[in-house]
Amino acid sequence: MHDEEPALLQRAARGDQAAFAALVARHEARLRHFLARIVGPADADDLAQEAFVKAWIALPRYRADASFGAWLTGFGWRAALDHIRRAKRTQARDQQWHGEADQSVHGPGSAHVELERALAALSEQERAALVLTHGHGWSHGEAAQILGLPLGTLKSLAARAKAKARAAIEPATEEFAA
Amino acid sequence: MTDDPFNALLSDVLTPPVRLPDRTFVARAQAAIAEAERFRRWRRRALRQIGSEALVLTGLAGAAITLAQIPAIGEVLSGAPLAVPAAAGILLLAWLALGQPRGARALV
Repeated sequence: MHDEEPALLQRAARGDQAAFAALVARHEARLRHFLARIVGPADADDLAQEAFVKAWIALPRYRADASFGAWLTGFGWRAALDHIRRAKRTQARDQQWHGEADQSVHGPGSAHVELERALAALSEQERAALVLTHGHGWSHGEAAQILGLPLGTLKSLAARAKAKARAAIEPATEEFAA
Repeated sequence: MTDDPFNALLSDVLTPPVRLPDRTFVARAQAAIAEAERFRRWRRRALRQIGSEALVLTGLAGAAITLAQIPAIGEVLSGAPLAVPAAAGILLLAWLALGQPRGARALV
């Protein structure tokens, strides 16, 4: 699927908006999912759009030392951080959404609901590290690049986030009890 | 407890859903990019125009100062105190008449 990406990137860097639209189509689902995990679904689409616009403007400076997906997600992450700084209320809404949305799908007390609660209680950085490495399949190196962190910091952040999430769901679910 | 069920649960909850591209979102992003591009072009043109007009005004002011320092013209000017403001006014009107339509086009 991504074999055409270098050609699309070249055309987009020369100002071809149709080529960039094709890149948006390839990456929007992943980026929006990531941002929904960080700031909640209400603001994720606006931030994803902002990230795409910033990536478009910065495209002539893109170097292929990082994958386009990782580079793009970095814009999304920085947009999310700015958004969080602007409005701390986002986290409360995010937690509220996690609670409501997932109880309706899985029912109260299920492992999924407990994990959603545990994830909502993590810091944005911890949640981002966990989503990128355990959900989106980025390597630790790529995730560190996306979040703008040293590799060691990213690794310990992801490990701490995972440990916290597991500790939070252990008392609530039999399946994960020691 | 093994780590596997927890890893599987994490992956289940955190993996993005596989789906077709959201055409509505793509169109929205495309519109935002087109708008950003229009704004960039307008800003570039506006900055270029401001720069060129500042250069023209500096040139005109320099020429006027140089002319005023020529003794013969200086005598004429001192005999007609309204000549300088009148000339400046004519220059300003000419600049507005010639420069405005160009500026208005640049903003579109």
